[in-house]
Amino acid sequence: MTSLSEAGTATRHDVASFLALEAQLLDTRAFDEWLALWTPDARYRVPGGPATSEGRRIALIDDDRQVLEDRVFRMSHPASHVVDPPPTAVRLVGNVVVEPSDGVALEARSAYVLVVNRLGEQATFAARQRHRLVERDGGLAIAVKQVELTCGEDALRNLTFLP
Amino acid sequence: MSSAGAIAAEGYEALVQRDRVSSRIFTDEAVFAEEQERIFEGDWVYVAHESEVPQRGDYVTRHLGRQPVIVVRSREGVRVHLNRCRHRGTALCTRPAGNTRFFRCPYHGWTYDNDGTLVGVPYPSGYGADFDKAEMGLQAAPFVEAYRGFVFASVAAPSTSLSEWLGPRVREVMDAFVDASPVGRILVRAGVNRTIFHGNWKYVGMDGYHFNFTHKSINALNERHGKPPIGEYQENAPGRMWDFGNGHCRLDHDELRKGHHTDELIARIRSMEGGPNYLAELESRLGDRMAQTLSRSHDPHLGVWPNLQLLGFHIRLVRPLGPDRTEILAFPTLLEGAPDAVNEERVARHQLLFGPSGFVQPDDHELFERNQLGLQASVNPWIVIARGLDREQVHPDGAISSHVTDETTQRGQMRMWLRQMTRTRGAGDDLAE
Repeated sequence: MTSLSEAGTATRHDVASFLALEAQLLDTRAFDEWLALWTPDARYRVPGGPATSEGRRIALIDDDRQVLEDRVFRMSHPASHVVDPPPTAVRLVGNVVVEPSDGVALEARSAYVLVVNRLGEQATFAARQRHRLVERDGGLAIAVKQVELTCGEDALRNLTFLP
Repeated sequence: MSSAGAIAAEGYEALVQRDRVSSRIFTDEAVFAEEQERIFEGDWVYVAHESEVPQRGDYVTRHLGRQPVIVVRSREGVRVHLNRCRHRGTALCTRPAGNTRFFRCPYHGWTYDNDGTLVGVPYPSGYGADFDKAEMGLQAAPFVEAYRGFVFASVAAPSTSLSEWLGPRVREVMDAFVDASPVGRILVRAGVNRTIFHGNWKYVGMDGYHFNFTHKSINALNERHGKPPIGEYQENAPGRMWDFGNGHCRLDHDELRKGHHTDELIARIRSMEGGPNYLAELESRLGDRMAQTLSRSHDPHLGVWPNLQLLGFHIRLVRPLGPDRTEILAFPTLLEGAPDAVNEERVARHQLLFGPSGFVQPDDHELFERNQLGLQASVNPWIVIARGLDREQVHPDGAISSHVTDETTQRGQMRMWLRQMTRTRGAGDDLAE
């Protein structure tokens, strides 16, 4: 857990460090430590698929804390064929913009690029992400994470990683 | 890779036998091209659901085999047009869905209304007196029929009416899927999962043998929550595999799910907001068919040859892209007139299990890709589909059933595949012009 520069006020630097830490934990598949970054009432959402004629889209991921723990369990279970072998990945987070806290949480917008390798193939993904972060124990925690993949409307092969 | 001529000489009968199939039909480019022509452009295929285009001008873009089409709600009802300007052939729609009053070609401005009528040609004086706009409307898919909102189309003259193509057993299961709505209509308006795998489209069959192995992690997850493993696919499970004929098939859990399972399901619906009223409406409409209808509607596990499945709460559309490329569109369905809580749960459940990040579908696709890799080893090309051959039951109407883990469905689909690939076609079969 990163600690804040000044008690009670997260700076842009604190937020960027936190997002970099999150990315590194996912890259190294340190899922338990990654889960520890989330609040108990967290929401993780990744919309997908093209919109209907009325503008509605599906979610590739729409997890509360319980389902997120199940997802992590499956991601690391030897019987999950999609992670046998597991992918290797590097995430680069940048363009971090922090909206001031509304008293409860602050909102961070960032861009990220993800390069994934598995079974001799390399794939590149790009996304815009929004984190709603709360201050907790002198650090930050994720209350909401929403990821918008630039390829989210397209037909996708298995996402063998957490976007 | 072999030429089409080599396949013809050898004969498809040699490649598709009663208990075994040659891997060539899953890997060969020439076989794939002929499948597109004979199966996907030669008889009924599913194209869209009417509720995807609820308002006039709503459209979705799809394919009939290799033919890109626009499915649009026009003044006259749902129409299927080839997505191609009659002038120089430009695609008119590039988006997956939308709403438009006209289809206007961006190239030279030719404009068609939703019925496909050519209503505008810029600078018309350049065309002679014999140019007849009425003859230059969008090419329609010549055969379109719907059952309970499911729209099927065919490029060539279909072998039978749609109703006959489906047959009573398929229609009965489709009915259950739709009749869980208190007004008897489903809505395909919750978005769609589009996934792709590097493997052959025919792997997307009905298979009751794979679950406990391919989806082992689901049973591990159940164990983590102190729940028993999924009971449907055990060696002693009472479920049945059905070959309904025409390649249609079903993985049938009615026997296991009747009684206790269905009672629990109904109790859970009753506990939801609006649940009791919904159940009362269903009961007045369906009477003593309500319990089975609800049970079936929660997972019909129906395969409608060649490209439609009703699985869980979703409509699955299979689109072959090449011998080793397949796209799957999975549309979660809503029940018109049912409480929001019921419909929200349907979408949430679908999102959890299916799509490229789901808990179930990715393991299937991972295995389909490994299957395609394995079939490259063609020295001994035989895939064995003999499971249950000696314990099948043939019913008076010709349907065949067997144990839920048996390969009755694979054999039924392969029989239909062979019939379509070897059928002698009439002179009037091809698209006019």
